[in-house]
Amino acid sequence: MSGLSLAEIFHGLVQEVTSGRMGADVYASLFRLFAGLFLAVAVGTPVGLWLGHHARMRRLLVPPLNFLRSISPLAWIPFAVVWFGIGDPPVIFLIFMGCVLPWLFATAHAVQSVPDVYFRVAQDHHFHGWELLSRITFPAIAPSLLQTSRLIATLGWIILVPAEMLAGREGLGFAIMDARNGMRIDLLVVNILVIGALAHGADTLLQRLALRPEVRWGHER
Amino acid sequence: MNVENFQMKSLSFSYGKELVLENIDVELKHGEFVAIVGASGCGKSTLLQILAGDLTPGAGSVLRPKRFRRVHQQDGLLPWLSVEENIRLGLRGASGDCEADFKPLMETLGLEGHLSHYPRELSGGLRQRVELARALIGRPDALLLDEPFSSLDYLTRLETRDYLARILKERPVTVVMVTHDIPEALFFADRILLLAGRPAKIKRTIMNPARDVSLAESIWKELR
Repeated sequence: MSGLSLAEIFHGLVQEVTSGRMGADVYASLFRLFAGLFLAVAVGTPVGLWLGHHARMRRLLVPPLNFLRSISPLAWIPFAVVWFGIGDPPVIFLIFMGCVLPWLFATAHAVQSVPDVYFRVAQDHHFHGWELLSRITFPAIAPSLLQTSRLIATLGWIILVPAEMLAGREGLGFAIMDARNGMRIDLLVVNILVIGALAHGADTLLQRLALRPEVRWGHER
Repeated sequence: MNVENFQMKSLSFSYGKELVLENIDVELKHGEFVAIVGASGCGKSTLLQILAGDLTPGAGSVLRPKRFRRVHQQDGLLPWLSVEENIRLGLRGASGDCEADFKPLMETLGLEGHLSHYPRELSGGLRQRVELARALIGRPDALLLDEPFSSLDYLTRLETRDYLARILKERPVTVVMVTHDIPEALFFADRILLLAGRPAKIKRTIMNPARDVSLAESIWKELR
């Protein structure tokens, strides 16, 4: 990187933005990230809620799930390419594989940590079924899940870049690899900075959400 | 099965192989305040949980009124709801005219200025008053109080106790309170049940203690 000036980096950023490539890469990466995280949350939440409420199932299922959790999501890259080719699906699959188990375990743990008294209050006031879930369980675990969402968003970004390098045709991770192949260190730095800025922006947004009174209680006891 | 008031007949309960409660027989009368007094760990809260339906007795039977409410030892408020939202939970399943009680009840309990607050913004005494308001707003048939003042400091405890006495005078309701605080039981109760032994049984029943503090020492000796 010797000799690379701020002016060159700025020039590279302008070039990427004006050519439209930056917009296309950011869009592709954000779409994959959100799709992967959405699927992880959509699968991990109900299973985590179920495991959180059933000690017997936890004893049965936690060991094999723990086994899977310790495998790097990048180890799935060959399978992802074979099953899904290249483009959006393999990257979304890899983000899903990396984030679903941390989210599932965090949800189960959050449910287990809900004080019994909240469920007793729910019982006293005749909360059942969906109402129990939406008005007692979800609000009770929301502060904990909000913190976990910050972690898995970061994890998603960490997985996104190498996944796009190996299985993408566009996106910020692919752009880094492309810049490296063209020996364009300025563009490489530009893409790294954009990833950092987007990840920081998302984290700031989630941090702001944690200030809402419905979840703030969980961080200020 | 629902009845007008709580009834326990030949009730026994075990945790695993350990028999905790044995042969408990109690029948409450309408509007009566019954205090169940016992040392810490004797099974009082277990008995209350059986009355509330959280635990199923191993033997005997429990009959409970259809509409009863509970005041917990501490942190029974839902922290993601405001004070008003917490109190309005008590209106679930209650008749529509209970809504008219909201304002007078808030005034009696001194909660008017706190309705938009969240539980974490309140002192321990205020939180217990909010719990009392939530328990009473729906005009329940009976109240279960699980050591409702035990987490409060001495002065707040006296203040909250006075609030409860005032509200019960305004709206008589059947109450079962478990406590290890003998003066508290003497202050409120029409009947005191001493729970002691292993497994715990009702060792003695004191009718109409009428705030007779001279009973405190004899109760204390029996519980030791």
